[in-house]
Amino acid sequence: MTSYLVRRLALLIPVLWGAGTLVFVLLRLLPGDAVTTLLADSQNAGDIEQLRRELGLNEPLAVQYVQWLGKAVTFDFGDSLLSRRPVLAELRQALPISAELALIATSITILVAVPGGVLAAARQDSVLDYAARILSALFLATPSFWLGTLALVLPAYYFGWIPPLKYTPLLDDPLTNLEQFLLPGAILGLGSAAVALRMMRSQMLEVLRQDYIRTARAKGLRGAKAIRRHAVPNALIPLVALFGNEFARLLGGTVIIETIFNLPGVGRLTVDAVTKRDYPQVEANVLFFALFFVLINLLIDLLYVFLDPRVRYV
Amino acid sequence: MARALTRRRMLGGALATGAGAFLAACGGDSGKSSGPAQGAATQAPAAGTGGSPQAAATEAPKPGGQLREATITQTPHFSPFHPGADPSFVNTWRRVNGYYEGQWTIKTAGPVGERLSLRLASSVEQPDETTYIVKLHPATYHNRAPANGRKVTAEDRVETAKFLMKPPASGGSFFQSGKDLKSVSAVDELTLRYETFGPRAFFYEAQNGAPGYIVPKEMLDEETLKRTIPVGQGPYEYKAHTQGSIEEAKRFDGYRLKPKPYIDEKKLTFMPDNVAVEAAFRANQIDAIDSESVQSVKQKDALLKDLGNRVVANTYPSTSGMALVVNINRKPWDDPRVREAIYRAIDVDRIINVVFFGDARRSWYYSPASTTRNPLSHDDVKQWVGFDQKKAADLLKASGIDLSKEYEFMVPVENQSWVDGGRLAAEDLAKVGLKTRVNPVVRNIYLQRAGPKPGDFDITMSVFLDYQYMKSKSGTFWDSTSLQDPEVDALVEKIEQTIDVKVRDNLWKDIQLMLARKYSNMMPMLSGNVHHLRYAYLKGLSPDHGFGNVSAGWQDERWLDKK
Repeated sequence: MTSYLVRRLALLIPVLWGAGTLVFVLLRLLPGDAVTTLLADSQNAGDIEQLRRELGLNEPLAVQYVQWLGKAVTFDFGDSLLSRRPVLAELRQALPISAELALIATSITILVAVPGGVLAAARQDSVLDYAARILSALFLATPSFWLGTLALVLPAYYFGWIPPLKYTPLLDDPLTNLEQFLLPGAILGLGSAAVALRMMRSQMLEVLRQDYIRTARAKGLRGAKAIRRHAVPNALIPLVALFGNEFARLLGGTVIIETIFNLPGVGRLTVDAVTKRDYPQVEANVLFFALFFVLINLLIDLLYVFLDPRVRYV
Repeated sequence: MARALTRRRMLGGALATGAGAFLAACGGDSGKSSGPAQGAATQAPAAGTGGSPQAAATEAPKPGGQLREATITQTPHFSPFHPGADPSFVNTWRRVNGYYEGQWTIKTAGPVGERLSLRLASSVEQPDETTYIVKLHPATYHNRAPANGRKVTAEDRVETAKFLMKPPASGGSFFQSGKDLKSVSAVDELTLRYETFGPRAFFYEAQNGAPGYIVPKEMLDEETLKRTIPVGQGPYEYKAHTQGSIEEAKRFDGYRLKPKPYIDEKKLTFMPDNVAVEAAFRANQIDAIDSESVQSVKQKDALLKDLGNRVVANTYPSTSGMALVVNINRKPWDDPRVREAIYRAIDVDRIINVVFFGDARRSWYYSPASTTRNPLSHDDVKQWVGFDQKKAADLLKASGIDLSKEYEFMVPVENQSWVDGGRLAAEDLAKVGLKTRVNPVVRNIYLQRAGPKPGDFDITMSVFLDYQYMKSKSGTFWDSTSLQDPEVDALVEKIEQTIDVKVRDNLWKDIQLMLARKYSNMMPMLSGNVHHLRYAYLKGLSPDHGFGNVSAGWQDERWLDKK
């Protein structure tokens, strides 16, 4: 187990190096750079080169890369080219917002998908099952940006209400915070729940046909108890990976929902940085996502050991 | 002979600055150039619907309350002198406006020649055509490091002006060309002496808005300005902010014009989505929205209909407009016949009706609202650039242009009306045989490709561009939109050096005719209206300072008529 863990952690290095290098190169292949944004308004054209020199953007790509790599290995990602604040400080500020949104969304996904999938499978072909399937298909087919826009506009139109505009940290004012996060969290969560519910249902249907369920019932275990004790834990195993990856994806930011609901999270930070060619910010953000994805996947793999006794890592 | 400068003489009728025009260019929508801080040409408020700000001005202002505004894009720093966010400086100003009081502002309405409004400057004298003596009112900075409530001095302005002369601070060509501002010095603690290299028509315009701010000299480096909480002498001081979410300001008790400002607090929310801004306005979470979010007359009408007499709308003719630009540095656009063909091929009235729902008008180089530029109407230049598709087709054939080739027509994707307008224009061009492919690109790419000479584009769009951009070397980043014609250069230079308003008015006319005769590659098409809405309890917005655009211009007159 320990050697497995070490191997997996060691894999982080090439993954992060690869992701970082890819982003470094791709960003510089895009037309334009931060100087365009910095000097967009009223500068002498001759000063562009000067600013490029100051920011180190005039160096050959290889030199820039070596300089970047040298700093990145010490987790020094430098300052944002636009705000001149450390990029990690910007990321630290945005992260709790995306983390909370991801947490709420994932919780809603689990709360809807697991019971929904179990009930739909347990009552296969009943009205409940059909309702669950139709609703999940509906949410699958509905883009979150559209749902988000409607969720914002319709209450404003009919009731003169929208969630609070100002981001309020959870610890400062939990109620206001929830008022702000619940709607976007629900929209994201229901979108993911649509996939998870269908998956949960099909897993449950498969598990419910297994011999050990039949055995459990034959031994006198009542339906609900058999499902709770034996079917659900087994059906949940593949979904753990889904929930984990969904959480990681949401933590990486959901630009559209963050934009519509005015949440200054990681997604908005990254897209802004990409648009304005704020290289250090994009590189730091992408490396963070890569790191987080790898760690989440590692955690999921380790969880399997506990969820499924048959899984052993050597 | 020394002579006191009257306001009429001082302003000389010229208000729009190149920076203003370029701001508008960056902002995209023509409507974004209505604030005086942008130095845009003046406009008379028109067609106010649903309320009378003038009447409101007669009521006694009530103190207190919080003004809530929104802007679609955050500015990542506090510097008033550095861009760094879309759309351009507009949002920097929104963010820092109120923290600083400039030497003067320029009203957006009122008789030409009486629009200069002295602020921190108590008087301006002009002993000769190249010297300006500016006296400042006594004032103090906000009580925050590094100024810690000390007095504002002329030396602060001297250092600020020197800072503006050096990029990447955005001082505009007046500060950075090396041909306009010769020197600035402190005569005594509150008196400044500016010297220009020669008579300069745009001395006041160049210091309208942010370039006229007086920042504590201790703060004058890029990093400090960007990172440090603003310390100004304006009516509001910084209270709190959450990056990318919100910024709050409170009234500055030490402000020199007591009892102003009337409103206790201001809250500016960064909301990148226009739909969300409108929803917030409907839910009365913000008190006013301007042309940044009210993008069409239909949207304005719907809001008025739904919110009734709780809100007031004001409509103004925009000081800018929508134009095509062809790249003169590339063939076949250097051929005047091809340019004339483009002018004649496009049915601008159709664009006005289809895209702008009739809420726009044809215009030539300057919007009809730009009274300080003596704008000619489209009829004045119709003989050169009037709609005539048959003639357009003939001109294209005569030019020998390769009509089998498809040219890229780049448009900034952020501005939907431009994209739609571009598509209709492309259809018209196709009718006369010129194939184009409309390519919407994000603003950063648009700027990068359209800005610096020689320009990486065939056809693109811009707002109406001011006199600097007519020159072969504009002195700005936006350097590929001129005809590069020595005659044009000479005439622009003459305008820049002509202080007499009447003489300059004739020169404005001359240059607009010259540009029509030469088939300017910046091809003005139409100029629309801008719409602002606010809740009726927001009062005291002076029409002199673009009262509809509550974020722009001077702020200490506003008050809230509610508990």
